[in-house]
Formats: sequence, C-alpha cells, structure tokens
Amino acid sequence: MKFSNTVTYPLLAVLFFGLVLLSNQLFKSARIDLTENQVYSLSGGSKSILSEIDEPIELYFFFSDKASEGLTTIRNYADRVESLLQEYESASNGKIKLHLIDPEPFSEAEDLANDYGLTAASAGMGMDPIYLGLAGSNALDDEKIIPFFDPSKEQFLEYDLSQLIYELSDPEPVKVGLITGLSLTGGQNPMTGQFDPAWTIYEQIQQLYQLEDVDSSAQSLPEGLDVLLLIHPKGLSDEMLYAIDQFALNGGKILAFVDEHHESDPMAAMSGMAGANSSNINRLISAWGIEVDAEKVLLDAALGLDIRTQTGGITKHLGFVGLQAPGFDDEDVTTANLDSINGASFGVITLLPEATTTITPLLQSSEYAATGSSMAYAMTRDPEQLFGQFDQAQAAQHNLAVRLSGSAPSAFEGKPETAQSAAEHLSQTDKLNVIVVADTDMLTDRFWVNKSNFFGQMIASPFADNGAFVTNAIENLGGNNALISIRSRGTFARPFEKVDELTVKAEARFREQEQALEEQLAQTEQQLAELQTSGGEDGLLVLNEEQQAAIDSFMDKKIQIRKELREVRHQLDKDIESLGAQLKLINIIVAPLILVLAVFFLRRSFRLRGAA
Amino acid sequence: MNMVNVLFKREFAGFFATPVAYVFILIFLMLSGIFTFYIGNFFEREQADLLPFFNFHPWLYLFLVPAMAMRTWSEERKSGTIELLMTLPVTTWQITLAKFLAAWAVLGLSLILTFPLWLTVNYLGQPDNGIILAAYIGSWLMSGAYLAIGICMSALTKSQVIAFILSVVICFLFVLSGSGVVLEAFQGWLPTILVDTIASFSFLTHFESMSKGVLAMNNLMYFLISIGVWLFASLLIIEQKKAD
Repeated sequence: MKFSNTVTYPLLAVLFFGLVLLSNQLFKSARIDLTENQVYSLSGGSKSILSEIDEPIELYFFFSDKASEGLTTIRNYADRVESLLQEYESASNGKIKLHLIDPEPFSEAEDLANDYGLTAASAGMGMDPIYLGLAGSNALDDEKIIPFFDPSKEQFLEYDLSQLIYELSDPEPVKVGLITGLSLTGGQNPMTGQFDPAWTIYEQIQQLYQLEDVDSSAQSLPEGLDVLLLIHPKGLSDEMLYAIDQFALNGGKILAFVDEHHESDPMAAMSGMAGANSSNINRLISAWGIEVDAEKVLLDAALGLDIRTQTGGITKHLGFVGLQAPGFDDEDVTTANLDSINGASFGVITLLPEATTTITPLLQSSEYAATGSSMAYAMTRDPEQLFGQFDQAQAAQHNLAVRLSGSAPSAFEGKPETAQSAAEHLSQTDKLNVIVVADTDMLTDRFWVNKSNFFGQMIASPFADNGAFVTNAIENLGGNNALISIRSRGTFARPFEKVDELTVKAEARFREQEQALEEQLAQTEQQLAELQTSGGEDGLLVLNEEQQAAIDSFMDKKIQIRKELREVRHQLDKDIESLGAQLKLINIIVAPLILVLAVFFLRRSFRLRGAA
Repeated sequence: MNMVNVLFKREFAGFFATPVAYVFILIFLMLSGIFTFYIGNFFEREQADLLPFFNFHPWLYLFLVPAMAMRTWSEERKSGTIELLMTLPVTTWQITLAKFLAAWAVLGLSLILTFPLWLTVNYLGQPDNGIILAAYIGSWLMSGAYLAIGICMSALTKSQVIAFILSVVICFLFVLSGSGVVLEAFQGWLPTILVDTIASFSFLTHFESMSKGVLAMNNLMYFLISIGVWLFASLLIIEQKKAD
C-alpha cells in the first residue's frame, strides 16, 4: 500500500500536467466570443488575409505598461489591441510572431520604438512618455508601422491591423491606371500661355502608387491593374468602354470621378455651356445601377461656401459645397475619419429601380440641398443669382458619392466586333467593386490645398480632406477583397452615461447660478465703488457712520456672494460624489444584509414547509 | 447518481443549518463590494464594466474558499461521523462529489447574490453583458478549482486550521504561477515552452481571458481538469486513511 501511494501521487501530478498540456493543444481555437460586437473574433476578411501569408511576419507591439499606470482608458484600449493581436497570431498558423515590448524610459526598447518611428504620447508634465504602437516587418525587411493606436479610431482597429498585415504579406505596390479628360499633369495653359504645374492630387497618387497613364483614345487597358482611376472621362471609344466594363466584371476595382459640369476647366468656363464639358461613361454607370442626372447640379443652402465676390464682398455660393462629418459615412473606412471635403457643382446620384447592386452612400449633402438646372448654373456668373434658382420646397439630402458592390450585369450585349481582347465575354458579376463620385472639381488644387514656395521647395498644405479621401479610396480598393470586406466594428469603451448626464445637468445649473451671482457681485462692487468715491467728493477724509455702515454691509454682501459662488462650484461634483456614496452604501452594506436575511428567511420557510 | 443527489441535499442543507453559509455569503458580498469600490475604484474609473469586481475574485477566493472547504472532511473525521458515513451503502466518490457540489452550489449562490452590482453597472451605463456573463461563468469555475484543492487538503488532516493553511498555500502557488514575479524568475534559463506551461497552470491567466468575454475551450477544460484531479486525489487520500 505504502509503495503504491508513493507512485500514485506523482502519477496523478503527471496526469494533471499531461491533461492540461493536451487540452491547451487540442482546444486552442475552440471558443465562444460572448462580447456584444464579437470584438475578440476576427472577421472572415481578416482570416482570409491571414491564410494568404507566405512568409513569416514579425509584429512588435509596444505598450508602456508601467508608465501608463492609472490611465484606465488607455490601458483598457491597449488590452483590447493586445488581445486582438494575439487573436491574429493564433489564427495565423504560426506565420505571425507577436512580441510584446514595454519601452521603459531610457531603455533599449524605447530606442527601438523610436527607430521604428512610433509616436510617444505625453500624459502630462513630468510623466514618462507612453507608447502604444505597432511595428511589423516581413522576410524582405519591409517595415510598416501604426505609430499610435488612437482609442477614437477603435472601430477601424481590425481594418488597420489587417491592412498592415496585408501590406507586409503582399509587398507589391498598388498599380493604378488613370484615364482622364483633364490635363492633370499640367502643361501649357491655352488662356495664359504659361506652364501650369501638375495637380497636387496627381503628384500624390504618383508618389504613393505605381501610376500608369492610359490615353483616352486607347482601345484597351494595360495588364495587371489593381485600380482603374477615371477622372472626368470623355470621348472614350466603344472598345475602351467595353474594356472598362469587362475589367469591372472581372473583379477589377474602379474609382470614378464624373461631372456634368467641370467648371474648373478654363476653356469650359469660357464657353459657358453645360453638357459641352460633361463626363461620359453613362452607359457603364447605368449598368452598375445608378444614374447621374446630366441636367441637374446640387445647390446646398446649409453647406454652401463663403466666397469673395468681384466687388470685394463675401457671399455664400450654393454650388461650392463644403461637405462635413454628418454627410460622411462613418462606417466606411474611406470617409469615416474625414473632417471636410470641398467641391463645386456636384452631380446627384440616384438609384435606378432595376439596380441589382448594393449601394452605400459615402458622401451626402445636407438636408437643405436642392437641385438646380446645370445649364442655368453654367451660365450664371454672379453667385447671388443662385439663390433665385434654389427651390426650398424640394430640399432633401442627396447622394454625391457612392460605393457599389454586389452583382451587376455587363453594359454590353456581347463583345463588340472591333474589340481587341481575346478573353471571353462576361455578362454578369457578383463581386463588383466601384466607387463613383459625382464631382471632378474637388480634385483641383483650389478646393483643398495651398501650395507655397518654401526655400525653393513646393510645400502643399491641405485645408480640406479631398486628397485623403482619394488616397483612402485607392488604398481601400487596391487592397484585396478580403480587406474591403472588413467594415468597422463596434466600439469597446463604455462610459458611465448616468455620470455624464449628471455632469451636463450640473454644469447647466451651475452656469445659470454662477451668472446670476456674478451679476450681483458686479452690482455690489459698483455700488461700493460709488459710495467710496462719493465719500471723497465731499472733501472729507473720514466717512460718517452711515456711509461706513453702508460700505461694511456691501463688503459683507460681497463676501457672502463669493462664498455662494464657491459653494455652487463645489456643488458641481457633489451630485456625482453623492451618487457614488449612495451606490457604495447600497452595494457594500445594504444589499448584502438584505440578501443574507432573505436567504435566511427563505430557508426557514422551506424548512417549515418541509416539517409541516 | 440518485445517492449523490440525496447526499448533496444533506450537505447543502448542512451549510445553512449552521451560520457558516450566511457568514460566508455576507463576507463575500461585503468584501467584493469593498474591493470593487475602494481598491478597484469602480466608480471613479467611469467605465461601464465589472473588471474591478472580477479582478479581485482570485484573491478573495484565496482565503474564503479554503475557509469554507476546511471543514468538509476534517470535521467529519474529528467528530467521528466519518465512520458512520463509511458504513452507509455509498461509495467514497459519491460522498466526495456530493460534498464538492454542495459547497460549489453555495459559491454559485454567493456569486448570484452579487447581482446588485450588475444592476448598478447597468444603471450607470451600457455595459457589455456578454462579457459579464462570461466572467461570472469563469469565476464560478475558478472557485470550483479552489474548492477542490481545499477539499483535498481537508481530507489530508484532522485539524481544520492546518487544512486551511495548506490549501491557502497551494492555491496561492496556483494563482502565482502566472504572475510576472514568478515567470520572470524562470525566464532566461528555462525554455519558453516550459515557461508557458508554468504560466498555463495559473488560475489567473485562465480566468483573465474569460473575464474579457471569451469562453475558450482550453480555459474551461483547465478548470474542469483541475477540479477532477484534485477531487480524485482527495478520494485516494480518504481511501488510504480508511485503510490505515
């Protein structure tokens, strides 16, 4: 017996060890995510990106664990990011290695964080800097970083992480083909005879992506394009339209800027003719399920921009629209973080009844927008006259840019006889991926960027997010379909709404009372000053008793008011504090006592019933 | 199984026949309230979750569960009722299981009675109740593991005090094995896989991932395996003592 026991217990310990190891290995991925928005689960898009990784990727997650003690919000968020990163690691089949690093001040880890170019946030004077960023590198030593995880961008956390991993796993630059009817590259201006520089948007795209210009008169598209960018396409041949159509149906992504009236073109402005300068890919657009009405131009009474008139005054131009946050889709990664987009003579995108595509509006006008005749708009020289064309009665919100996805038919019955391509004709797709924007003026420099000469260097400083919108869209479309499918996720931060409500209420009351008291105080002080000066006018240095008493009483009143003011300010937090105290009392003393008594009596009644 | 049911009822009622269960529940509720509000700064954090509440559970259980478990066998042995129990037509494992389930049910009841805190957090904001549910399940499973250790230690000795101290020490080792202090001591000279294994024996790591809202199979299994192994050990000890 003795012998068997000396063996049994160690055996049991080994069994314990073995079972735990086994369950760790066996059940690694079996889990239920009970969180409301499945925040710890990767979406299908992320998983498919992970499954396509060939070479190992190293991720370095920097978080200042020690320096951030007591900063609940940031710590919670860091925790969330870390959990999600671990999720990526475990779902990557060993392709991703995650390293957790705490860059303490003056450590090698901090130098590393700086080498990668991460941003340190400061929590205040004398506090150590806080790092919360990610650096990743692949087998080719390409590096990508997220300088700082901003808790306010939480809904795009998964998108950002998946994008970083996607870029590391597929280091080929995005290849963008450009077809345009505008002279984006600059060149000689027929009006002035001077050489115009290239548009900033063009330079920006050229810097970020592998850009290939496609001639409008060409009959086919170059091979291997990731994204086709159409900017005010005009006079395209049937063969070209067919090539674009088939490109879209084959899963090619298109970003199209179309305009019924591109007013920034000096020649068009001279002719003053609408329609003479309109884009023309309507045949394609209607196959995608939408229509951009050639006769209409958007006039927005709420978002019209102020412009300087020729006489020097300032007036609102209803056709020059400054779009703002409520008009942006805050769940789409291309628009969610934009502040403003400026443009002119936007077209209005309407949904065709027979549309089979899924349409997501990205940019919308305000609710105080109506459409005017584009012909009349083109003839108008004085912005004031636009008010006359604005029809209040038909004011509504209009779609100015949309994302089209899902299934769409071909715009062509069959392959045109003259088409060069040898590929089979596709008549239908279920994975269309197109963004259509109904304005091209927004791409010109004057609507979004200032350029200044700084010691011989041209410095572009944007004042609107038009450029960011274009690059977001190309980035988004240029990634693979899996990446596009990752939409924004719910947020994780959940504040005490009750407390916020109390603060708002208390502040409102406080402001009212404070104002009243401050008025009283000012009055009292004024009266006091009057009394004191009138005392001096009589030439008497000594005040009589009455005057002295009056001054004293005003002094007292002043002190009293000041005290009340302090009291009111103190009251601001008092409601919250007292709520806290009540909750503490209930949860620590009252509830436990009541509950234990309840259990006691329940049990007694059970026993009595059992005895009866 | 019917026998287990009968024994379970006897044990469960036994808790409420003496003040043990009431005192335990009261202390558990009050301490968890104090920890949540004063040490966890639940109200001042202004975040609608119950993290400050659940974070202290491993430490609360560390002392409360052994205190509850220490009498399981020690008392039976001291008062001699164990002889009586052994003459009954029930097997030792039925008794062990019943004792464990009864005490576990009391722990579950105590957890359920913390619902005022759940009401509080739902009043203050809009918490993710899925996370809270997962954390409750995790907490209850973890308390079962503590309990199984406590019962095993209680089987080992006649003295309740020794049983208490032994179980606190062993539970503490299990809590600690995942903490930074211990892991740092092993890091550097042990291979990573062994360090990870040591970490995976910690109640803390398994409970933490559950308290975030994810019920992972390996976490659930870990606690179930722990409960099974420790109960089995206590069964062996009882059988052995019986033979002695």
